[in-house]
Amino acid sequence: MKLSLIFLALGLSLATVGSALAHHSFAAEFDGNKPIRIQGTLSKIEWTNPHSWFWVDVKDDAGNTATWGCEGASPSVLTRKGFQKGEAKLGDQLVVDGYAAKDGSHLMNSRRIYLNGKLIFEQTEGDGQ
Amino acid sequence: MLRLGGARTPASRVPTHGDATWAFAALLLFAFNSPGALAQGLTAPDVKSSRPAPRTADGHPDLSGYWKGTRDTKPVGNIAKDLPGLKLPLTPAGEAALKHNLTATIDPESLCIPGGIPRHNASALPFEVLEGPKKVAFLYWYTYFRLIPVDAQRKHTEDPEPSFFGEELGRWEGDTLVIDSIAFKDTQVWIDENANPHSDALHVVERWTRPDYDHIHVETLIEDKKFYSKPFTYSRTWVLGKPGEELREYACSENNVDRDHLQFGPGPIRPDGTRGFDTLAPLPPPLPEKKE
Repeated sequence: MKLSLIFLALGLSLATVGSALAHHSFAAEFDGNKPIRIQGTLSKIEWTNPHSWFWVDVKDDAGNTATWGCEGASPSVLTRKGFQKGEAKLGDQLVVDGYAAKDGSHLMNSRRIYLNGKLIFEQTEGDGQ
Repeated sequence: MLRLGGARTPASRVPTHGDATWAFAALLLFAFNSPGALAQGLTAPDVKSSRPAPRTADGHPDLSGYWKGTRDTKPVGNIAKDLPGLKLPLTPAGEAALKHNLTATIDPESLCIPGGIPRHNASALPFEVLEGPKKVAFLYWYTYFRLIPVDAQRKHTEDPEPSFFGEELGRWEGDTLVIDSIAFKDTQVWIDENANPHSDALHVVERWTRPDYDHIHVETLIEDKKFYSKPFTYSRTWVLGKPGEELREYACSENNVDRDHLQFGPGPIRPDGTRGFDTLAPLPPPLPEKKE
């Protein structure tokens, strides 16, 4: 059985483990009292510093699309873990659970990711931050 | 069977919509089994060492190496780590500066401004030292550095230009590298991850040693007559990274999406003295398990 989009799992999990390791405090940007779930299509990946970003196009009931950014770790951290390219495609369906930005923008700190219906990453409450 | 390892992805490569494939294998094991394991790349367990510190040609201990924090450093990111009750001796001006930092400043490091000293000594991030006979370089995760001239005869200048790392002078006292720094900036500065303040009166004296092959240690004396009623110290030991581990490029302002969304202050400071989420509201219930 193939595992895909592991990079996404790892990138995001690294982002959520320990705010002291991030270039900013997650809790200075995201609200632990604003849990959300988004569902949509992976539309862009930014493999950049200070954080990688995974962008998900989410359609609302009226058919309007909003793009949500899910923050990941920096590439220098991710590559240290010996990533290997495999299979994951823009256009894959994601469900992402996490905490939304305090300022109402479409950014989130991810805690669970489902790829095409399958749970591929989970950072449970109380772990890391 | 999942395999680790493989070619490093160029940081400059940004996939477009038409890009063929991306994926990364094996690390899902980390994600499921040990959420904390992923942080092991940046910190390391402490080790017992029986190997002596290497020495340079002029006989000094060689502080060169890639140094990683250990989990014994608690609370990390907090300059009051060694003070009773984690209580800093703030003056009234210091209290006011702390309140200002908490309510009206965005973390300078999150805006890609150098954290400077002593903040970097309290940071959770690794750093690298390159020691030469006349200069010692400290290289930091954010692709910042400080360059310390080593010269016992040299004195501080009359009116140094303020900087984030200060005017640094180095000298050897036996096997200890002493770094004496003054002339720090007083805006866009936090003394640690928790937004504690420092003024331009900051004076930092660090005493660096390499007790054995695998450890580097610092005793940091912090003095700031404007904001702190008495000097205080910060001690820390780091362990040597594994062979092949080193700093990588970190272009902080390459794609700083967070910059326009960060709120003032460090976020909550938890009872253990570290910053981060304190309580989290429950997430939506998990989706039903998908059968393969």
